[in-house]
Amino acid sequence: MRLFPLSRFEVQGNSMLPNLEPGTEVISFNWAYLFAKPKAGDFVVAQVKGREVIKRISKIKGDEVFLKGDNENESTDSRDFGWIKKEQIMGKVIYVL
Amino acid sequence: MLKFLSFVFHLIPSRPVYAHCDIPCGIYDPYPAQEAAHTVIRMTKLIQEAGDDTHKIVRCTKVKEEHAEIVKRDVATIWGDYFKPEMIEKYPDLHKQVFEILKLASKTKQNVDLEAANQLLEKVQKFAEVFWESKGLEPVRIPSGYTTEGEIVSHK
Repeated sequence: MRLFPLSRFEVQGNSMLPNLEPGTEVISFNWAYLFAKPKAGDFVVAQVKGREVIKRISKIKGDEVFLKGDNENESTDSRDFGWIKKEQIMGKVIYVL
Repeated sequence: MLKFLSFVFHLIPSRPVYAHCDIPCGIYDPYPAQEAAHTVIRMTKLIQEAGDDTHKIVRCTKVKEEHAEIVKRDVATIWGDYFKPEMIEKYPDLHKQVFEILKLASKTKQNVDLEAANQLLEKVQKFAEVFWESKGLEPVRIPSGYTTEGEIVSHK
């Protein structure tokens, strides 16, 4: 968990089109899942293989989530890297700047 | 209020977050595999017509080998990198299709077999149709314009 509750990110890449274009800035709430559970459909920032990715939660199974990009034909997501642990979620996107 | 929020948010340092696809970013096309399959047919015919011209047979065999390999490489790349598990659910024969293409491509390398070469092109064309369909584009067969005649699968 991060000490500061909010982080700002600039989206790079096409996998969240048409909802988030490359260059769009978003605010993620790092404490979002301290008291609430992740839900399917949430936009999240997660740590996957050493880098921060932005995807949407597609499915939830126990303490694991399945992430998918909105632009399915051009997204590398859980269909490639598999289910990730909920602890790998760094925050929930709460605002698009 | 929104202006104030936006101001506060902009005080937070920004860093990149990746929404990347595999490189090259969604650039896949079954066209080169089809062109290569046509070439395999052409080379097979030329070898059959070469008679005792060893030089020509060697040259055509080399090109046939190379282009059968292009078919294998390109089809395997699209299959492995482009297609996702849920697309396989929609096209359950895809694994079998690719397996048959790879086997046929090897057969065209091992033999001077026009029937196998024609089957290879047909299988690659069907693979191309599945590919374009999966992208939401209506596949269409158009004349190749090659010496082999026959068709190329493109999309509307």
